[in-house]
Amino acid sequence: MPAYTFDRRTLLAGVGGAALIAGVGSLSACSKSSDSGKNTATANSAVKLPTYIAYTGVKPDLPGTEQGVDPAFRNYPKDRPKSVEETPGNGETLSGMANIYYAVPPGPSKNSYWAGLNKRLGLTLDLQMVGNADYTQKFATTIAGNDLPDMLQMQVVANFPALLEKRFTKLDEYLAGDAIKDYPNLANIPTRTWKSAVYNGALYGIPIPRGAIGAYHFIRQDLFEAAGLSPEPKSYDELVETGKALTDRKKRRWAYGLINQPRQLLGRMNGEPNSWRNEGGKLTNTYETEEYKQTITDLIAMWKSGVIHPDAFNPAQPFKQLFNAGTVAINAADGYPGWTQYILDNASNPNFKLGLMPSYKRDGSGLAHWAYGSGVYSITGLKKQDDPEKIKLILRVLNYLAAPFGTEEHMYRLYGQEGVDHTVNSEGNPSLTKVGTANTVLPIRYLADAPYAIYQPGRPQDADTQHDYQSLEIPTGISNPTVGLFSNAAATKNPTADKNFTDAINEIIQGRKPFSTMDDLIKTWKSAAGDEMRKEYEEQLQKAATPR
Amino acid sequence: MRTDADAAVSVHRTPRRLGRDKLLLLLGLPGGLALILFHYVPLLGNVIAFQDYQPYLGILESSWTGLTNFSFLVDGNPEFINALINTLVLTLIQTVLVFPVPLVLALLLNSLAGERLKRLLQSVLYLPHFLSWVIVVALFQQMLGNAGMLNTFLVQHDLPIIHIIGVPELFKALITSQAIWKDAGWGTIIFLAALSRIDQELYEASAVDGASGWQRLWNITLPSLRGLFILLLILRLGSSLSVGFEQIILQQGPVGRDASEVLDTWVYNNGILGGNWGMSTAVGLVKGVVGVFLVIGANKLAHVFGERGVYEK
Repeated sequence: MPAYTFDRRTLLAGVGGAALIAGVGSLSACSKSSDSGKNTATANSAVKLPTYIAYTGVKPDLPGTEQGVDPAFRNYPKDRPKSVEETPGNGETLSGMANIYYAVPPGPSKNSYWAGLNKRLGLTLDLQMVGNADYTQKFATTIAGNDLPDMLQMQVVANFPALLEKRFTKLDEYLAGDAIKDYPNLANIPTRTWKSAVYNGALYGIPIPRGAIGAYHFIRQDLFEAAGLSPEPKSYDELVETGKALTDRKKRRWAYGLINQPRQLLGRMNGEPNSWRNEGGKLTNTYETEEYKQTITDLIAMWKSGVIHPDAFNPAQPFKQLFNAGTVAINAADGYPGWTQYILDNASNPNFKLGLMPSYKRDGSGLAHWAYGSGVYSITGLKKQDDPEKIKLILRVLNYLAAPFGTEEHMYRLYGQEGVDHTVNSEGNPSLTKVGTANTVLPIRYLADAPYAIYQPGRPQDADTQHDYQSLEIPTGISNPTVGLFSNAAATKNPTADKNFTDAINEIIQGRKPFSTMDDLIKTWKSAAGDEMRKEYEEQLQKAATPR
Repeated sequence: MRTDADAAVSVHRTPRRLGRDKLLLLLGLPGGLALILFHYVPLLGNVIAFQDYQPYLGILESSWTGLTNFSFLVDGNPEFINALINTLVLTLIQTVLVFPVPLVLALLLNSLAGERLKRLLQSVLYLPHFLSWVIVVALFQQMLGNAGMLNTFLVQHDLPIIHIIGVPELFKALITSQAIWKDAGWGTIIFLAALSRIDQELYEASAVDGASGWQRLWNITLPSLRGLFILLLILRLGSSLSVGFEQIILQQGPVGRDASEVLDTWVYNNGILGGNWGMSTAVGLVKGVVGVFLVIGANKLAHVFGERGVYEK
C-alpha cells in the first residue's frame, strides 16, 4: 500500500541524517549531562524570580482578583497609553519560531501589518510559523539540526533541563529581582508563571501567561433555551436528564462531542483531584482514585444512553465545528480564549447564543471544585548568544510584544493598522477587516504575551458573563500540585504509558473490555511511568519549601 | 570467456567512453548527488539505533547502549507482538487482496471499446490517489461513520443503524477497502502501459485461429504481464512491513490498539512520543533488513522459475 509511513528512511532522513549532516560535532565536548545534576529542588527554589510590577496605565471595567479572576473590559479603552517609549531595535534581524493555529499569513512584503510591526520594532522579524499539529516534530528536528532561532517557543521534551543548559541562555542577570525593571511589560507577568521557566537553578525563558481558569464549560445557550432547559444542571441526575433532553439523533444532535469532555465535567462533579492529590507531600494520581472509577462508571452509562456523539472516540473529530453547527450542545472542556473564536465563527448566525455552564457536585449540594490550569501556555527560550547586547535586544522585543491590554502597542499587535486591518466603532472597539483577519495572525503571541484580559469587541455583555463565571468558579478551584515541577519520566515515559492507559479505558467505556480490568491497567500505568513520576515529583515537593 | 586481453581493452576504452558520454554524465550528476546525499548519507544515521540518542547532544555525544534498543525482539513485549501480528496479517491481506486489484482494473479498462469512456473512467479512478489520507478517512467517516450519511438516513427512516467504522472486527476490512479505493486506479497506470506494448498481431492471429476472449486473456495478455507483475511484487515485499502509518493512526482512536496497532504506530506510540529515537530507529533498521532479505529471497525464487526478477543473476 503506497501510504506515507514513518519508516526507516523518513526517520533517518529527518533526524539521524539531519543531525549528522548538520554537524553534530559542533557541540562543545563534554559528556551527556545528567538531569539530576543541577535541576534540583534546592537549586531551583533558590532562584530569585523577577519582581512583579503590575501595569496600572489602564483601568478595567471589572477588576481582576488575586485569586485569579481576570480583569474585564466592556469596551476597548479609548485612551491607549504607550508602554514602550523607545524603538527596541536598530535595523537588526531577529529570528523566531512558534506554532500557529491559522493559515500562515503573507510575508512582510505583502503584509502591511508585518511590515508595520517590523518598523515599530526597528528590526526585521524573521518568523518560522509551524502548524500546531506538527510543532512537536518540528521542535525536535530543529534541536537535532542545531539550527536554533533567536527566540523559540519551547516544548518540554526528554531531558529538558540538559537541553536548556546546552543550548539556551540563562536570563537571571537580565531579569531576576529588580533587573526586570528594564523591561516593564515583562515585569507585569505574574510571579507564579516565572516558576515554569526555572530549571538547573536558573531562569531559562519568558513565560506566556494564561489565566487560572484554564478551560470553560461552553454551552449552546440557544439550544438549551429552545429545549426549555436550565443551563445549570445541579446534580448528576439533572446533568443526565439535561443530556437526554438535548440529544435528538434524528436531528443529528448530541449533548457531548469528544469523550474527554464529559469525562472532565464528570471528574469535577465526582471530586477528582487536579491530576495529582497532595496529602502531606504524598501524591496520588487521578487514575488511582475511587472518584476516577466513579467517573468511568458514569461515562459507561452516558455512552450507553446515546447522549455522546457516536464518533466521540475519534480524536480528530472536529468538535468545534460540531459545536458551531449545533450538532453538539455542550463543549465541556475548551480553552477559554475559545470564546472569541466561537463568537467570530458564528457572526452570521443570529440565533447563536454562547453560554457557560457551572459544574455542581454529584449530589447537587454545591458547586464542584474547579481545576485550575497551569497558568502558562509555554515558555520562550533564547538561544545562547556570544553578545550580551543581543540578549538585551531580544528582551526589548519581547517586552514590546508583552504590552498589556489597552496600550497602544497591544492594540497594534492584535488589530494592526486602523483602516487597513481593522475599523473602529463609536465606542472605540476594533473590528478586524478581511485583510486584518489574514494578516494579524502572526504567532508572536506565543513568543511573549501580556496577562489575559476578558474582552470581546462590540459585545460588552460578554465581559460581564465571563467575569461572573470566573468569579463564581475560581474560589472553588484546586491546583495541580506538580505544576512547575519537572519529571523526566513524565516527559519520556508517560506520553506512551498514558496513551496506553486511556486507549484501554476507552475500550472499557465502549464495552469491549470489562470494567474489572481497570485495576490491572492502573498497575501497568504505575509501573510504566506513574510511580517514577510520583517519586520525582515527591522528591521535589519535599525538598522545596514551596513548589517552584 | 572474458580474457585478460579483453579486460585490458575495456580499461583502455573506459576514458574514451567517459569522454564520449560526458554530457550524459553531467546531466546525471545532480541526480546522483541527490541520491547519495539524501538516500545514502542518511543511512549512516542508523548508528543511533545503538545509542540513547538525544537530539541536542547529537550522535557524537549521545551514549552508546549496544543492543539495548533491540530488546523488543526478545523480551516478549505483548504489545509489540500484537503489533507484529497485526502487521503480518495486514501484509498478507494487502498482498493477496490489494496488490492484484490494479491488474484486474487495468484489464477491465483495457477491454473497454470506447476510448472516451475509458479515459473518463481512468480520470475518475486516478482522482482518489491525489487525496491525502486525512481527507480519505474524513470522507469515509462522513459517509459510513456512526453519525455519517448512511446511518443518518437509517435513523431518519426508523431503521437500525449499521456500525462499520469504529468496530475492531471490521477494521482490517475497512482499511483494506480504503486502500483499494484510494490507490487501485493509480496502480493501473503501469499495467495499462504494459498492455499497450503487447503486439496486437498476436491477438489478431489468435482471433483468426478461433481463440475466445478468455483464451486470449489467459494465453497472451497474462503471460505478457507476468514479468512486470513479479517485478512489482518483489519490490513490494521490500516495504511489506510498512502497512500504512497515517491511515491507521487517524483511525486508531475508536477501534483501540488491540485491533489496530501495527509496527509503524507502535514505533510512534512508544518511540517518538517519548523521545526514544534510538528504539524507533532500531525498529526501522530491523524492518529494513527484513525487507532486504525478502527482496533478495523473492528475486532468487523468481530466478528459479525462470523470471528476470528485479535484477538478473
